[in-house]
Amino acid sequence: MYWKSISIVTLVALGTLPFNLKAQSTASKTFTENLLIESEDIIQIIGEKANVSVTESNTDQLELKVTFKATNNNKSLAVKELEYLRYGLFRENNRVQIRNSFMLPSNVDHIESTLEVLYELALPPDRKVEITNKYGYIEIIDFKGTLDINLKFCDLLLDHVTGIATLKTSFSEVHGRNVGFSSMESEDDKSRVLMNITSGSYRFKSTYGDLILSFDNVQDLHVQSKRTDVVLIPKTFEQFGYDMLSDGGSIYVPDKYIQLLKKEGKKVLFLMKKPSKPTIKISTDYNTITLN
Amino acid sequence: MELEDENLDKEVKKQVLDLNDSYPSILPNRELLWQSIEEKRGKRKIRSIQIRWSVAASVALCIVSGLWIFQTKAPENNTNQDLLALFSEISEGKQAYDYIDQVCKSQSSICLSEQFQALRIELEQSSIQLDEIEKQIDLFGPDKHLINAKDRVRKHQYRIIKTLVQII
Repeated sequence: MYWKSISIVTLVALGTLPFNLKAQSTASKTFTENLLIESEDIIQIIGEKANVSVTESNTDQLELKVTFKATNNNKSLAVKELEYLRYGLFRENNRVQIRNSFMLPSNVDHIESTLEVLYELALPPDRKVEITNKYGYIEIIDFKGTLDINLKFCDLLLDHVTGIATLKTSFSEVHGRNVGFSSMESEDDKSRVLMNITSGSYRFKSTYGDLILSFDNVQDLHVQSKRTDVVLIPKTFEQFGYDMLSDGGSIYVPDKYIQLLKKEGKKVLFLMKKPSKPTIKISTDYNTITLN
Repeated sequence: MELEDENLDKEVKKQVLDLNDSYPSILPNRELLWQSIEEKRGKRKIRSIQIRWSVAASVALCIVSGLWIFQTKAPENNTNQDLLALFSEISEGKQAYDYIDQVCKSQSSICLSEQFQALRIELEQSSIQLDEIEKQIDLFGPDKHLINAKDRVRKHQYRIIKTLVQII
């Protein structure tokens, strides 16, 4: 009886499967633009729920591909709602601005389809790119230039990047692989930053997040954080000097350096100066610093 | 013909003996057959025990769920551990503020500290973020980036509440 009941339920579930699994239809549109850009031009992307991919090209042009997608069980609804997606490309002096928007009819207060916006940019080296986005995925791969990135609720991937960067992130996740900026400044709030740094000078100002940095050959690394746990993984510990302070938190260092830890009230300090080597300077409030 | 009791008994015994002789030859040995029947009985017994355990587990689950629901409705009696469990349902974060307000009425010195105030402001601001995301979900549906965003704010709130509770 027990097995019979299970079999009946299973059969009924399998029987209704074709009614539950309706095929998803995707309506899409693609636009491409090629624009001659000068070395002093600034490319500005202002995205709203956009995914952005930036890479280097070997031409002197900005190659832009914009893809809009609408996915729905109902094909005609997907086609209809695809029309809500818009983008614009503007040039004003040396600034080239690309932005997208959602143009909803006044009687629409809910979108049934899943809408996606993807910008794919390829541009010559040593250009300046500014990206502002909320809710999306950004990847910058094989890029050399100047980046100014401002993200909220986004995922950012930096891979094989050089040049200069300024990052401002909130509720975001930043992953960096082979990051070799000559200088980078990051202000991250409620964000998680995992970065593998190969060279350069870095300054992180971090609040309510996580900062995990592995580095090989940095010239300067300065972290100021509040309620952000900091994990540092130098490739060779002895290659750097350390000046670390945790106020209201803890510092963890390899066993053989424990005797260098000092406690002054609520403060914990770790000082290991090496005049000829770059100094890793960390100052934190209410969190832990782990040095591997 | 009407049979006497004694005769009836004899007749039954005879019939039974006849039955023994007429046991069908194609069936397995009678002893093996009984053995197999006994084994099946044993399995049925195990299955019925398993069903009994399932029923007992379901009842236990219902009781635990009931107790948990009851506890979430009475935050004033929570210990810190209970409170953290309660805040795992952060979507109903109003209870968290109510609890913190309650504690602050009785332990105002803790709540006046700069550290505590900063965390409370952070918690309030994150609720505004959560409302904004909810509005976006109403408009765009449960898009993966919006769900991720909501999840990040909730984790942040959980972290703040955990710190607040530790301070309290």
